[in-house]
Amino acid sequence: MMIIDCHCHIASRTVLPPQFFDGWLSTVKAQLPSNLDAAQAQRMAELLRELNEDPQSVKLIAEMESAGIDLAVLLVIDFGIVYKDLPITIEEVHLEHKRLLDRSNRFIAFSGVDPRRGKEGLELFEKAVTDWGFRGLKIYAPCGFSPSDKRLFPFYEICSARNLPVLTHVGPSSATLSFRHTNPLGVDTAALNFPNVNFILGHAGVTLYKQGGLLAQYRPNIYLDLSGFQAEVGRGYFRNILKWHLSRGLSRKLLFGTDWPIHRFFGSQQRWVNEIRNCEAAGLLSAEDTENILSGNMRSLLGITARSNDTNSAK
Amino acid sequence: MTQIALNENQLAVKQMLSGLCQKNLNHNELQGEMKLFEDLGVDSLQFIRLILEIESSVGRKVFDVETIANLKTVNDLYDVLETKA
Repeated sequence: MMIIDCHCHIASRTVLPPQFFDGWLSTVKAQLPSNLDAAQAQRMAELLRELNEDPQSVKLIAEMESAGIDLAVLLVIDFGIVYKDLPITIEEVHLEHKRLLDRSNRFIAFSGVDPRRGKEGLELFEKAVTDWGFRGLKIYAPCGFSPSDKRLFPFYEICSARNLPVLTHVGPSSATLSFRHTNPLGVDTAALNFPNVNFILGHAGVTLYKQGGLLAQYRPNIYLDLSGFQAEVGRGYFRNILKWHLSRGLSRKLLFGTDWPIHRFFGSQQRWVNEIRNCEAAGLLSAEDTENILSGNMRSLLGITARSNDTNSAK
Repeated sequence: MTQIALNENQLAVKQMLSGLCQKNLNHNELQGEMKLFEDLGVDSLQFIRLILEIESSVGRKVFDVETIANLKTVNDLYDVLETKA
């Protein structure tokens, strides 16, 4: 069975900047049952930084091999408006992804551009999907804009014309970013106005999943990405969440994703694939459900045939 | 099953684990083959805390991201301490 991880990032400080991890560290520290001493806090910061040290995606590819993951979707996030003093421009971030696409056939990339960049941002997105082989759009609402922001509509026009999916982040993020626009309902105006564009709600398979699930149930062009499910596996809630979705007929709307490198501490990519497969072994998922979640649904969105990375959509 | 003698660091880890384990296991009931997440109910925050406490206890860095990701059982923790502490 082909497996597609619909939600990954290049683990590199040029792609996921230190400011992002600073916010995450402060959240983890505040959640721990007791205070860390100074040395432990420093060590925690070091370990979080280590998560983000795979700029050539060598470790990711090795993990994909072990787990039997055929393809991973790498998502560009445009932090350039909200974070200052980033080491490279958003165009250079795209080019880092393009270099990886040129080197390996294991990856698909989604462009990501903050709509506040205006015409230049739109031109970058167009170049990414026309010349550089990007096959979708990533919207990162924690940077401070809604996925239904009208400045994104020209991007969605391009997605509609080229049959490109849009993946938008749902739920909280780094504490250095805004959560204001991260509710699943934030995508509704865009999804209503662009019925030919498929919107994937990133993490909404497990985060704010009842709202996301209702949207996916009633809007044919809304899908749910399960990345972040690792935390729910740890809490023991994942299977109940999955049952909730299945009871609403959403097996063709759920997409396997891991959010590499964020959850690396808690297990290998192989463990996360096995967690899905084990749901089938436990009788929760049918073989067809498993196939749909691990790749079939994402293949449909990307126009990929079962055993090939060829597409009839973006190139 | 043969009981393997634990060194001082491994015993300290065993003590820490029985303290945070959600299954009300005492120090003696905690077995090496038990799984940290499934059997002991260690959650992600407790796991992070455990890693940091172990390093504080042995007074040096013993984990990296790869070793952390591959920790499944109590014995895995003992092995890291055996080889790196």
